[in-house]
Amino acid sequence: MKIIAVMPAYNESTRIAAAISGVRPFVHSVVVVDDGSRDTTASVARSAGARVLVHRLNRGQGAALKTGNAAALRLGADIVVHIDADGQHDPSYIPVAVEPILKKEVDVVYGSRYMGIDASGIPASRRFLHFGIRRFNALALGIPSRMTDPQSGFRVMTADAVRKLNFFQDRMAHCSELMSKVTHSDLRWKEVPVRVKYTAESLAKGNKALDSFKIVWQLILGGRD
Amino acid sequence: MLIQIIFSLSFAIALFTTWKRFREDAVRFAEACIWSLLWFAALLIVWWPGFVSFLAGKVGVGRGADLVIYSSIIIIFWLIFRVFVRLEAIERQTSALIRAEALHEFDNELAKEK
Repeated sequence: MKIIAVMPAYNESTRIAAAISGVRPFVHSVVVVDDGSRDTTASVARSAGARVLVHRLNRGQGAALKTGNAAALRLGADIVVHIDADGQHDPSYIPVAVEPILKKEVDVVYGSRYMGIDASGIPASRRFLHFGIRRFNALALGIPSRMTDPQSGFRVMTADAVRKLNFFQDRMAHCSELMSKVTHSDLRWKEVPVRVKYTAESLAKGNKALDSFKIVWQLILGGRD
Repeated sequence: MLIQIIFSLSFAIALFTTWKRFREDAVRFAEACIWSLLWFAALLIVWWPGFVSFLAGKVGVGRGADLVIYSSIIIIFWLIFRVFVRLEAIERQTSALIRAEALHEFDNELAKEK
C-alpha cells in the first residue's frame, strides 16, 4: 500500500525541513503544497526531499489540500495522510492512524488531540474554542458529538475516500466541511489519539476566537465550484 | 425644481450607461431591465413624491420618505449578499486556476522523470 503525506504549507521555511524529515520514515513520499509563501518554503521543502507544488497566490489550506490530494493520486497513492507543515503533529502517530485503514476497518481516520494524550502547550483558550466549535459542528452541521477534535488537521484516508470527498471551502472552513461530508457519507471513520505539540509560532498561526465567525460565514456562503 | 432637473439629468445618464454596458455585454438584458426600472422609480419619486406617500399609506408606513429608506435598506442588503456570493465564486475559480497551473507544472516534472 502506497502511503503519501500531503502537507499544505505557508511561510514555513524555518520549520518545514524538520517536519518533512519527521514524516518521511512513515510514508513512501511527501507532497508539499507551497500555498503562495513569501519565503523559501518551496526550495527548503525540495531540499528536504519532498515533491513540491507551488500555488502562485495564497489560496488557503483547504485549497492547498485539494491540490495535494490531486498530486498524491497522480503519484498512485493508496492512502493519503494530511499533516501540518509546522511539525505540530507528531509524525510517529502516523502508523497508529494508518493501521485501521490497512486492516480495512475504516476509510477515514482522524487524529484527535482530546483522546487521552495531553497536547503539549495547548492553552485553555484554545481548548475552550474547540469545545465551542464542537458544539457548533453538532448543532449546525450535524457532526456527531463523539467526534472529539473538531478542527483536526491530521487525517488519513483511502484514495477512494479522497476521490469521493469533493469539498469546496478553500480556507479555514474546509475542516468543518470535510468532517461534515465524511460523517454524512457512507465512508467508515474513526478517531485515534495523537500527540500535538504547540509552540508560540504555531499558536500564532492557528485558529483564534474571531476565526470562528469567519468559519461560520464561509460555511453560510457555501457554494459550489 | 432644480433638484428635479438635476435628478432627471442623472437618470438620463444612468439609463444611457446601463444600456451602453448591455451593448458591451457587461450587463445581461434582465439586469439592464431591472436597473432601468430602478432608475424610472427614482425619477417617479422625484417628480411625483405624492405617489410614494400614497404607497406608504397602503403598506402601513408613516411617510413616503420612510418607505423609500426601508425599501433601499432591503435592496442594498440583498445586493451586498449577492456581491459576497459572487466574490466567493470568483475566489473558487481563482483557486481552480492556480491549482491547474500547479498541477500542470507537477505533471511536467513527472514526465521529465520518466
